[in-house]
Amino acid sequence: MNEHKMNEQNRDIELIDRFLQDRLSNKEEQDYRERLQRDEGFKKLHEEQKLVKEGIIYMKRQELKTQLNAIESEIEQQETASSWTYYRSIAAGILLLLTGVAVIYLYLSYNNSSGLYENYFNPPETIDKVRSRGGDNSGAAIEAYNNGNFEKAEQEFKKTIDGQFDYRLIYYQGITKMRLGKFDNAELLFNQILEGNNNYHANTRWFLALTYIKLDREDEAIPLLQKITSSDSQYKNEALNLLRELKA
Amino acid sequence: MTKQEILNRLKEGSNEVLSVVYKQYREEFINWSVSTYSLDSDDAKDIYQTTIIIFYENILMKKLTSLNSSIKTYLFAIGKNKIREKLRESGKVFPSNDVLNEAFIYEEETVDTEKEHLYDTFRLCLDKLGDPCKSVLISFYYKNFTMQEIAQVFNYKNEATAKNSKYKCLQRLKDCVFAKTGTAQQ
Repeated sequence: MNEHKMNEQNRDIELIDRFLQDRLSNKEEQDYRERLQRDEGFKKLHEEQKLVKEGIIYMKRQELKTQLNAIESEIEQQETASSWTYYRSIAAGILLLLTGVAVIYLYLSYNNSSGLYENYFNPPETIDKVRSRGGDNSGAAIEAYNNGNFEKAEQEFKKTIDGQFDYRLIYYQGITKMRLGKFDNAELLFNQILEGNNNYHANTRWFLALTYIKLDREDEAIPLLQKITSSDSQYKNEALNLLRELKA
Repeated sequence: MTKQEILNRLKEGSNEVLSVVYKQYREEFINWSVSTYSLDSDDAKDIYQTTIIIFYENILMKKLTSLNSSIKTYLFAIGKNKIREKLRESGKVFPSNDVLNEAFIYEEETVDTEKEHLYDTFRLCLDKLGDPCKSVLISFYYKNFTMQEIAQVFNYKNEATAKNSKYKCLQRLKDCVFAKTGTAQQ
């Protein structure tokens, strides 16, 4: 196909795509439909483009259905397990025991998530003093952190970071928030790091995943952990173990 | 997470949020379908899945960018239309006093075996193309991205370069599909 014909065909494809996306004006649409009636080549191209669009939509819908079926199977498995436990307890005829089992189960579930966090949260004990981009203002925050005075470290980090954008300090500020149990704040800070261009993504993913676990949002922790396992992160092994425990 | 955050995360393609939304309304939707319209639970589950797909696609295709009502109200409105179709197909009556919102009516194309085979070929060929071609074509034809958005997302120099690349990808896809199916090309 020569260049002129190719350009012409590309223009037609663009027009057909706009028609299929319902982006033509009334006048354009009327002209379009008239052309479909009289121009066989254009009609054929129209059919091809329609087929491409339908094929891609069909493929994506199938993928979505597969994904939803997987969620459905997961729910059904949980339901089956629950029903089995329930009927067995009824057969035993001990309603009190059933209640006890349920209470213990809830208690263990809660503590399991909490316990996982406690087992894996191993933040740096001390931070090296490195001159930050904005000067040496971070000294007080780092000193407070290294002395275990996290309330003061929190205040000093806030003062220091205000006015500069140092991802290293934001990272340690996030860890300080975790140490103080302020997980919502930590989440915001870690997401700020992940949205920026910096070298702290790998470690941040690890602490953000732990934050999600503490917030009972395991669904959001899992993809982060999976990403860590396929990277060279220093937390790769911990992430693998944690994933196994989450899925157990 | 607010409903706007949910819509935004779904628009970014978050599978985790999709799973959370699916689980959140599933039981209530199925119970409602079974008790109000006497559906069996398998049909209710099928309709719920279709409802979630429509909801998700409406977000991806930018037909739904914000919601005045709750997500639950929106899902149940879509579901009600799908239930009506289901009841009509099986010759049952949809309650006449049950008001339907026409905005939620959604026509799903019936796919015959021949077309299904052809669509499977599309899937094979798209996989064969690989990225960025596959993602560019999906973004354009499924997610309704403009060429300007594609240029930004896939780091093309400008819209013209993105457009040129899309044409090449499209041509490669067609060559592959038509070679496998033997369909004549223009």
